[in-house]
Amino acid sequence: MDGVRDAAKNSATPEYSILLPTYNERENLPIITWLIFDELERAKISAFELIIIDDNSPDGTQAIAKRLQQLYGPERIVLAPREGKLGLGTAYVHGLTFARGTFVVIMDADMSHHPKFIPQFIAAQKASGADIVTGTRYLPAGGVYGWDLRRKLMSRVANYLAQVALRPGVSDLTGSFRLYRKEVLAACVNLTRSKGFIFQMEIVVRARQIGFSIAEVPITFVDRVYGCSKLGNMEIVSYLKGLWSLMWR
Amino acid sequence: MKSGPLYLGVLTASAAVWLALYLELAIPLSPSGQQVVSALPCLALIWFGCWSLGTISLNLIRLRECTDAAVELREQIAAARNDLRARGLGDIFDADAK
Repeated sequence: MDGVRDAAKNSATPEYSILLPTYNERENLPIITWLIFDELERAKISAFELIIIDDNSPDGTQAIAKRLQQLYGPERIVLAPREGKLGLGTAYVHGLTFARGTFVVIMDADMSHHPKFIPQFIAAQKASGADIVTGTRYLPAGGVYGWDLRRKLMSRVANYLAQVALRPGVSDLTGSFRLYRKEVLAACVNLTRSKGFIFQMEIVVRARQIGFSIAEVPITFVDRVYGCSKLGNMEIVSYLKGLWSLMWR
Repeated sequence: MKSGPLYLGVLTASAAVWLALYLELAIPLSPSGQQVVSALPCLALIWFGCWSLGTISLNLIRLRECTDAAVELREQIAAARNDLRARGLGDIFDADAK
């Protein structure tokens, strides 16, 4: 009897679809997958699916994803590969066509986003009824690890400029660890025009313009790629340009 | 509301009020009053600069270094590797280690 009920529960529509875009994450993918299942099972959340959107990684991430699908089952892990590296915004749109859940969780596969926060996002959504729950490194319980002083200062200045320029009502605009109502993400992504980390800010700005509600959960961000802060002068210029354009459109 | 038009509106309104004061369109000013009014834009800029520096410094100090989370993650990664090895996926890590 229990077996029948379990089978029925497993085949039921998942409530949460976790979108995991990957590019050359051969080593990280099995571990982040394991962590996601471990954390959600411990939080007694079973109605979820993991959608792996691999952009044809040359390191063979896709083959690893297939093996993980065999291990955890095709109803829990959905493969949504793409033909090449096509950018994050379109990865979300692509993943959304596979997502069966009412809610969509978006995270990075490099383990800077810890799956232990997903149950907290879900609890915050239930408590507030928000359309979006966004992880923030900048509230007291949040934090970062693996950043030198220069990197911290740059992130603080960038965040300050964004707060002043856009008045977003959200303390961390460039983070991409978030939970969305599925139709809310679809609506926001359709309105965005920018790419990269500006894209993450634009989603929030668009969401505010439409009037969607946003809740925040403090997260810790552990940067395991030491020493390579990818913020060159080009990035600074494109960041400022992005901020400016978001103020007006 | 988009922040660009909002700031443009606030800036235009403040500039208009300041200009009206400066040109003494509304009320005549004493010599010391004139000095204060002519220094106002400069003072506002300095105040904004100080406030920005203060906010950024305070936020920089407040940004927490989460060593505990890094240690926890390291342990969990080791546990994940061991469990995945037990389930026959060990070659993924072991091939790269060689």
